[in-house]
Amino acid sequence: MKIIRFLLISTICVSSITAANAQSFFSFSTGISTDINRNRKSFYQIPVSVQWKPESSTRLPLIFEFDYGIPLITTGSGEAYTLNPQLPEKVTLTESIRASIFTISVGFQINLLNNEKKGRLCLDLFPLALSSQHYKINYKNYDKENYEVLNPDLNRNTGGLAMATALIYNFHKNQDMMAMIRIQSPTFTKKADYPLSYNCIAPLQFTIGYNFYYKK
Amino acid sequence: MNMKLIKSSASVCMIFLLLSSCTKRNFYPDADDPGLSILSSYGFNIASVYINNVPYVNPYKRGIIGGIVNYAPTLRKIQTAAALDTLSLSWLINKNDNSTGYNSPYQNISLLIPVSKSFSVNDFIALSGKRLAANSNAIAVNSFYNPGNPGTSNLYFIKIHIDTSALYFSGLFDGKIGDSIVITKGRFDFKIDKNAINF
Repeated sequence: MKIIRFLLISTICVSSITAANAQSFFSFSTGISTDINRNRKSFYQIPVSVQWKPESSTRLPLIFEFDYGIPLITTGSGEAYTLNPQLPEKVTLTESIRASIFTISVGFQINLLNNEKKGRLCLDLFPLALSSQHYKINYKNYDKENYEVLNPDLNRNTGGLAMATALIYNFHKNQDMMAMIRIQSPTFTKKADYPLSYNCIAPLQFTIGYNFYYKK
Repeated sequence: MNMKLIKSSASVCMIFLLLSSCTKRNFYPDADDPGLSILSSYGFNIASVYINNVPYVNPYKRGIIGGIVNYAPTLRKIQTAAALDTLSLSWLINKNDNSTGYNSPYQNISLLIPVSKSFSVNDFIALSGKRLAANSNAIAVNSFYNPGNPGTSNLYFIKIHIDTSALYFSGLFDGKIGDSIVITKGRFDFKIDKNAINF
């Protein structure tokens, strides 16, 4: 707790010394995202991130972020059983899970370092994020007439509040290019009644994109 | 005064937790088989089946302090004068569609397995993973007015295990009684108190 408090105070001090970027902008970025919520399965996504900083003059400018994670298929397995004496009692099926996330975040941006020639390092803090998560389950080659999957994973739509933070580097040399590492907490939501093989995702994403300044 | 407040707050929380802990129906719809619950093995005390293509499920009751409790089955060894006794697994059923339970032509379903006179809980546990052929057991559906004759049944005990207090077992079943009753897609996930078993 002491360390967190120290880091928070330090960043606020640094931000008060370092002038905020006095330009409003949109930024678009994409890259790769993984999950850090101790899931037994590894969830990967292609994140598409849009940031909007509407203000241009304040020291702690308000910032909005929209993130959508395009799901990549995560595989698992399931066991299916049949009563039909003509068929094998038990078969193992390949399970695919598509997990997509959409998050709207509101927060503020703190300038950590600003080098006029090289670039600018910022920290985005999002104490308020609303995240919607969808999990779609499919069992490959599942003979639904004859077999039943034991304890199958179920489709799930969930959502709730979360928090997020991002470290952003803006390259001044490369025409407003930016790189971002963003981490988001799992949603603060009730655990599913039915025991699933996966938890809500806490995405860790690395993206690269461009800033589009509109008040220069 | 503060202690009193803490104690009363704790009591309210305990009651709330107690109420919320037994509010589960544990019916998880099977997207591929409308009206049936998925096949599970968590001791949910849920069983569902099609009888002549109509979905049936075991009913539930309201708990004394609120919440929902699924009716558990009865698992009994019935002694007979023949060389073998009968292991009977039976449970109540209701239609699981929009019609009321009073219109249900069947109120009970029984799986009947011939077993030795010395059949024990360990023998039952040994059935785990066994698929019993149609000629080795029977199925019956009964109503209040019609006890019904047993027909042939396929039965598969997928998982059976026991802990210090209860016996858990899950599986699949189907069957046919005469030409008029066809039982398909049956699945059960039961948990029975050890003290409720008579063998």
